[in-house]
Amino acid sequence: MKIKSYSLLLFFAILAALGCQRDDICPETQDTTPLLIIRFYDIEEPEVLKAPQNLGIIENCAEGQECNEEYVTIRNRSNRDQIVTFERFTGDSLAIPLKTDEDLTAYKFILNNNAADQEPDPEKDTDVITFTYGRQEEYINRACAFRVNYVGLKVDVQDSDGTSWIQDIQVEQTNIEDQNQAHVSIFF
Amino acid sequence: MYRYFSSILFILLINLSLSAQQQNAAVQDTVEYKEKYGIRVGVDISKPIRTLVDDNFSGIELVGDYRVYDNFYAAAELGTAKITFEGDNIETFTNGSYIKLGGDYNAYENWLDMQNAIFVGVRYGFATFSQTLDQYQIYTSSNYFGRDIREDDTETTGLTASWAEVMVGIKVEVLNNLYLSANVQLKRKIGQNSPSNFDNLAIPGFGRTYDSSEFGAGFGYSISYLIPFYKKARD
Repeated sequence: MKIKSYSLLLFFAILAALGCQRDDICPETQDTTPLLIIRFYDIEEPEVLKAPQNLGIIENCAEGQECNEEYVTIRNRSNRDQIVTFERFTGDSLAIPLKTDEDLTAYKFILNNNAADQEPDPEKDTDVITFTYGRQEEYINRACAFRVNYVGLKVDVQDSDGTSWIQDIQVEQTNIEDQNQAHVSIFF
Repeated sequence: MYRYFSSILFILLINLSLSAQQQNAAVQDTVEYKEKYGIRVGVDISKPIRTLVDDNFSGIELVGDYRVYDNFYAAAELGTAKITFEGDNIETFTNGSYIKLGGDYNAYENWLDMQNAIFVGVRYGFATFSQTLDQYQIYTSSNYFGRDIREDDTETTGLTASWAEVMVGIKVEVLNNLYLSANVQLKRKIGQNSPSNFDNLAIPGFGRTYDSSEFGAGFGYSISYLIPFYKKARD
């Protein structure tokens, strides 16, 4: 009889443990839709990383298109509560999001973007980079739902005034499935 | 040969009548309790109650068992269920039916002529269902382009799943031949086929599934009626 009541107790303990739905919360460490990683190199010495000064990045609007007027923000990878804003960014590599609902994302890359409270001057060191790609949805789990992987990445640089600060751009990885390596290299 | 057989029959008859007389004489101090054997059919009333109370569930379940031998019962459940799974980033709708087959063992020794039970049971469950992915989000680490929420309504039909189940419960005879029964169930998935690039978030009869384990849990509360076929003395 004692063994019986113990096994009953165990049975209910297992049931109670199952009640805690720990896999309903998407963990912060989960690999989600990858960001596009860009590294910057010196055009004179293509092996050497070089940091652009005070780089600002904003979505580039096609005419009649509704888009974001703010500087690009991402969540810090090591601390998700912290937001990184690319307004006056100085560093030799960065990560930016690509649209998950369209096959095209265009950004203005503004060099020497000093005036924080002013509208960026389009004449001043502004290049537009257009990224085109295919998208594949991938199921993660019930807490995080789906993510998107990008395939067949292509890049294109346009410049309104013909004086582009970007000298060369190369796609290092056409398929973007993780954030372990740089996907695009920019030489200037 | 025939003579031999008929003489045995004769001896048996005498014995029977003798023992009947003995019983009549001894009725004061040893009462022999008869137990009913038959088929018990009913309905799980927790399912319609959940249908009323819980927006994410609707279903019915028929239950039945047949007393095969002594304390052993063959048991089965048959049901349908519609289950909505609502997560932070995903919503699905599952619709299907299931059957559970197995047996119960009554571990309770009754007093007098009562026929209650504390039982343990095992079941094999099989479900066939469809799942609709109603809504989901593309999970990103940047909110720059806003949340990308898709409303799809892609239904995948012809899904199946099977599982093994152990249960413990009680059955109480509240009126003559009318029983109330409650049980809790622990289940483990054996096999399933799920939509490509997706998963079964709920299975009829199994309930919601878990990403990190193959286990599931459930409960039942049923009312059933015993149709007695014959009576037999308790051993």
